[in-house]
Amino acid sequence: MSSEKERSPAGVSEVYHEMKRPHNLQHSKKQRDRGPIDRISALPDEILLGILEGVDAKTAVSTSLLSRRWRHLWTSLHSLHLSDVSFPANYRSWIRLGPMSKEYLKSNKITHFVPSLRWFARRIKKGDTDLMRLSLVFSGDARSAAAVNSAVGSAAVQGVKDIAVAVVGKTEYNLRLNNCKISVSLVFEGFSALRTLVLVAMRMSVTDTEVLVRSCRSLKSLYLIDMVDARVVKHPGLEELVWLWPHPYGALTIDAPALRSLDIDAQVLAMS
Amino acid sequence: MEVDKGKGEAEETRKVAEADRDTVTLKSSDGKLFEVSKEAAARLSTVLAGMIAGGSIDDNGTDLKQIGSEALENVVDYCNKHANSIPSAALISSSISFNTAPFKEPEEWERKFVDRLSHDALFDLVEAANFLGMERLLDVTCHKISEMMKGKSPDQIREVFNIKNDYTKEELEEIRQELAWAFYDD
Repeated sequence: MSSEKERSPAGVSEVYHEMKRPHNLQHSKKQRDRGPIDRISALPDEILLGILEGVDAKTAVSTSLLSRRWRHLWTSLHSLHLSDVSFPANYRSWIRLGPMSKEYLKSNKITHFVPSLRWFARRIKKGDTDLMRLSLVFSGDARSAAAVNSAVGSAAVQGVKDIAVAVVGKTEYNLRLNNCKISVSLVFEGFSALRTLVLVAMRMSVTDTEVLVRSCRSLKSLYLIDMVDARVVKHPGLEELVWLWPHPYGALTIDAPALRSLDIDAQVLAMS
Repeated sequence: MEVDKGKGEAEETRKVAEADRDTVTLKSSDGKLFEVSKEAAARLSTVLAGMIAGGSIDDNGTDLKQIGSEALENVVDYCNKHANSIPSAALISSSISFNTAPFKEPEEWERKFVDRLSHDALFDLVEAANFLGMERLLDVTCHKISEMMKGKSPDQIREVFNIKNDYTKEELEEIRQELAWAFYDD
């Protein structure tokens, strides 16, 4: 009896206290009592998809495992990003950082790149996709070239309009790049679907670069970064050209009547 | 009659003064008032732009019952900072860069702005930005959440965001097999 009496006023005062709290503080107290709550799963689908579009394909796809809420979310993504190498945290602007060092490429090589391309090509061939944008980054490794070709080709066939490919690499990869260069400029039919092409530190002759650029018939944006031998850019539809190189010499020729944005800079920032 | 007329005139004057003001006053769910640049509010929020254009802005504080004071303070802070910031040359050129996402790279101050937020404050701000139709702020906050996810395993993501795994063992195994490549260890 006496313990009942003691408890009751305390209970009343606590209720009163709670009622006086501003609404949002009350909310956060409840949260603390229940332990940390899952804020992210409560967001609407379109926001979660916006978040998933900001991560690489592997992370996006693996969210299937989080919980039922996440199981099929990523399948509605409009854009996928597949890469041969993992990037530093700010990788959206990595392209302005210049070529990656071979140490960086080696220690950040992604082993699932080729399996992910094969999976992607199979999936896209089924045609049940909302995908509008595909971006690919590969180190120019000849062993990945066929899978890249097939993924880009299938995406183009299925009507993915916005396709971007970046080829990155340096020094030790030169030999492989040379192999790759042959396969890309002659066999790589997927290039005709590209809207964006990024070439970083590849050893390509003036002619090879010209042939490659010309074969990208839908190209809108071209990035040439640390491409020491490239001299001429000739393309009727090109709208954006970014040309960065560390040791400029000689004259450049640009013949691109549709060009709207040109960024030529001798300053290629070193990648840390 | 005369009194009524006088009141009407006063209201007219007040309305004119309100239209001339270059700030609007917003009121949080818990009754706190915040002043925000009218120009920035109209530019950054489709909902506020609609309210300003439609004349439903209250001089004594427009009620935003869905937004707590902490989140509203961040919203207002963001708008006012945005009003004062001039887009940098770097941003202009990076806006056409090789993006992996449909939205544009946050500026340095925007990065810092979201970096200092607590976990709950970040999500409160996402919800507020969504409610107010603030596309840019939504991009900046979602970009932060993407960074928190990037490169993490499902287990790590669950831990960061307190997500409860409600699958059975069999279901987990089924998904793992379906998407085997995504679960390779690098």
